[in-house]
Amino acid sequence: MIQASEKYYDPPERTMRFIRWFCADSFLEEIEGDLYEYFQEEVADLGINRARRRFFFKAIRYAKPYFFDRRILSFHHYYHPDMLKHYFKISMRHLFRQRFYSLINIGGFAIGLACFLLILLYINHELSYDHHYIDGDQIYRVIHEGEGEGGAVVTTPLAETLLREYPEVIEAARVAPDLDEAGSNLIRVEGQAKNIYQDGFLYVDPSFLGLFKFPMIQGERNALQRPYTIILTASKAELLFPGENPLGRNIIFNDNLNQPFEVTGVMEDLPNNTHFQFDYLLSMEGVENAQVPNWGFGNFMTYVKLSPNTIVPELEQKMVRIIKEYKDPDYEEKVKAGDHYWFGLQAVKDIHLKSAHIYGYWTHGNIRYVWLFGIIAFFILLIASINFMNLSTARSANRAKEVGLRKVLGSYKKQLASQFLLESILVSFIAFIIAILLAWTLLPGFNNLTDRSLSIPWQNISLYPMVLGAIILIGFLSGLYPSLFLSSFRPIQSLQGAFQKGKKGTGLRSALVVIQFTISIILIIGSLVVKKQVNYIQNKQLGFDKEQILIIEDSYILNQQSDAFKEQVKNLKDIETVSMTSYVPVKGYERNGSGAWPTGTNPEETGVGLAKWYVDHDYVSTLGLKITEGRDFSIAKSTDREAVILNKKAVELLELEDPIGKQITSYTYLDSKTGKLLDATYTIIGVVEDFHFESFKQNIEGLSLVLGNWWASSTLVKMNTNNPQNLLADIEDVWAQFAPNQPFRYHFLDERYAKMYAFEQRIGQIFTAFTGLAIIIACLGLFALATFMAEQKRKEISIRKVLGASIGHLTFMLTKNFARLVVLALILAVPLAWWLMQKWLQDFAYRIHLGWSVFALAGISALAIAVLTVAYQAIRASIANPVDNLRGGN
Amino acid sequence: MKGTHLGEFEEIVMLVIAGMQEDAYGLAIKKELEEQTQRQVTISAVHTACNRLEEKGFLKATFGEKSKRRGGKRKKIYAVSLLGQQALYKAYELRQRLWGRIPDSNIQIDFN
Repeated sequence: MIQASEKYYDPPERTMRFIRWFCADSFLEEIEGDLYEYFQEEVADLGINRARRRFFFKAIRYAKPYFFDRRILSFHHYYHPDMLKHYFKISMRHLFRQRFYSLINIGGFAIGLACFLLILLYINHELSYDHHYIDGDQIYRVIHEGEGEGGAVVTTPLAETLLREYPEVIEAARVAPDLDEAGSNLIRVEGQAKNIYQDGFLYVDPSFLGLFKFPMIQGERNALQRPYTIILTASKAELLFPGENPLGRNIIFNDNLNQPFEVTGVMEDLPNNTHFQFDYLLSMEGVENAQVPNWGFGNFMTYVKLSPNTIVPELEQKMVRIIKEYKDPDYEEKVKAGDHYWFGLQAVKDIHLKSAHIYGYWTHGNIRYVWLFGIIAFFILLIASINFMNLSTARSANRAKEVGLRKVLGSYKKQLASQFLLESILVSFIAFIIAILLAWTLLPGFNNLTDRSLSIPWQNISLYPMVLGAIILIGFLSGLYPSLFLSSFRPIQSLQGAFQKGKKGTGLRSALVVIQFTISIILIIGSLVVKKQVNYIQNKQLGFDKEQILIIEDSYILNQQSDAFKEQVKNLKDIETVSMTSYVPVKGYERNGSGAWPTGTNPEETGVGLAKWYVDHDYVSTLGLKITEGRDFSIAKSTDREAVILNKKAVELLELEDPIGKQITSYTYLDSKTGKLLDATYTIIGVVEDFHFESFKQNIEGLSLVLGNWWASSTLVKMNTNNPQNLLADIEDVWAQFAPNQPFRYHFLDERYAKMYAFEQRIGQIFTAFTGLAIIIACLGLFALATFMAEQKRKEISIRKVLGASIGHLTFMLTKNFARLVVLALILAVPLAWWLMQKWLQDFAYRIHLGWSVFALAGISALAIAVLTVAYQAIRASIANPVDNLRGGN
Repeated sequence: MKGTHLGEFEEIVMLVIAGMQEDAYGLAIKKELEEQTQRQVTISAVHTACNRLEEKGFLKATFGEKSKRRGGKRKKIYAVSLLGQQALYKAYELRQRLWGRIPDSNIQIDFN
């Protein structure tokens, strides 16, 4: 029936769009046509509104698997094995043909990945500390917390008090790294003659082994019940008793034959991801200082094990009562006055990373570094991926023809995209292999840098699927943009040679390059500044002579023979002076301080804290300290036993004018029987110029020197020789005479001094490493950009050439643009770097001045690097034969 | 799925298509089915069955002209193929045989 001027109504568009998307093409025409016709009939019969409503229900029935357009998933259309082989072949061919760019691209990506992997290893390791104890969730360390700061050592009786008073505390153990024979000793196995020097001795309560359930190789976990017992770690057992059974044997400490230690157990070596650092455990049972119920001293680290469902904050609240009852009856008032402190419980898992604000023994890591490294790793990966994307798309003109042809031959866009995705996953795979090899090669250097001993867990089975997954994921993500970009080329244009995609690409890439260069410049500046500061520290005048001073360790073993030994050494040729003391002005030696006040005044008002060092008559001359007022200690004057030499700062603090002849009183030691602090009075006989006896990070403090070198642990020998080796041998001979069975251990003062700044040196090295990395990455980014622009401007350059431009002129023109970018980066980087460096230098009480020379150097080097990178492309583009570029179909 | 097994609906659709004088396309088939069988048939069911039958080879499809009434789409017109006829006949045969086995004494309805 023919109807004149029939009006046709469109069925609901959204529903139709769904149908078009969902259904396979082969069904579409029929379905659409029939639905459309049906719709017209319904409109005529029921009106448009009802027709529209009913349409939806009709259409929705086509959402059946049968009609589904499986090309969306389409495994078997183009993931056919033959196609995959083809894509693989084409990809490899492409990589080989473009060797240079492929190498740069893959190489750059690999470097980024390698860094990422190394940092990942580090973070993984750091986070794994102390996770391996049985019932580890219930183990805590008791710390002393105040406003801001905290201390890891708490008072003597706290452990047993907690155990007694609170049922939630089911086990407790104390650890003393500092008591008596803790730390380092000269030991030998009973029956042997020679002593050896060992450290890593730790005093622990007998309950320590059981609390942490350390795996024991020999002996039980109650092996430290009796006093003077010792537990060895496996490697130490092997060292001292190779091939024998150590149980029951005795070890002599510091030539003390009266009190040997009996070996009652051997435990497994500690893994390297634990905050504990010990090799030997000594029983604290029977140690006098450990039993004194003195709440005034804090000397022990205390660990507790809580019952499983304890709510920690509640327990901490309860512990306040202990403070009030036992330690400090005035606690309430002190809190009100602002001196707020309390005992806190720190989970053992947190100790390694979260103890930055807690002052204690053993070096820890810092969660901040973990975060920092994590963020850096992420950014490195990001930038590496972005570079990869950039470079992949920069040479797209080459692939354009291929894409055009493929499309003409019938490829779908999705097919093409997946081809390029596959290609990028392949590249990612190759880059990963290289990256893993690279990481493995760099690992020793990295370990050096971070002071850890990390290793790649080859044997961890779960590693391989994870790596594979990562390869695919990263390859996929990095390849997404390039593949979509490349597959979107219009066949006609690309086969004709016209090349679209102009300005849009450049802006983003340029911004990226600027960011990369800014980071690089900041890092260059950082490196230079750190190097300068470290050099300054190394070479600064200290106020004492650190050159040519030998430190002989463990001198306490000489006992009564100290003076004789000293004399003999002094008599050797080329020796200037010798001094025996325990106090040496570099890190790692004894320190002592006490309150001091002018005699007769009230210590509460006039008392100041002074370092108090016990030295001998030759100390000042050996170290070359400068006396500005009064005199040095003199053997002739027996009254010097009650004399003191102050440094200038001490005099200032005590507010003494004309200090010579005046008297000060300071504390000496704690009487363990009465619990009282004893003191002594000294007469000031001399003042020395201030010298640095702590690190450069601190200002010089007040120091007092008094005579008293009993048990002096170090002999300072001032030499003046061109042949230290021979002299050393001579000194060793003297030592062997006096202490035939003790090891001759020595250091040079200037070496020890340099080690104090090992940390800063390492920072410097890390900076340099990162700087190198950043520069490489930035150059890659710049290279990609330069390539891209050279492509874009091919025709323009050719035309200019034809019109007479010289190669030099063209190169300059091309480079100019990039120079501008670097200058922009410079402008951004300099203020930021200046601010950052100021902050870092603030840590040092003595520091260099940030002059503009550093910034200028950084800027010039950045510019030079940039120009070199760009030069390759610029020159190549300028040299190109215009004919090639301007020919019609190219 | 083994070739010659016809579902009931499929069989009926084929029979209807075979008997249609005018163009046997989706919508028309639907209307004819509803008229002949006196039951509701959805257009999607028709499309599903017809396309399946085409895949099995029992129906042949050709495209007709475009029309505005169909939004510019062509009609897909079905016809029973030789294979389809054979399948239909097999089904018919089967039924005949089975009916033939029923003894007269069991039949209560009145054939007319």
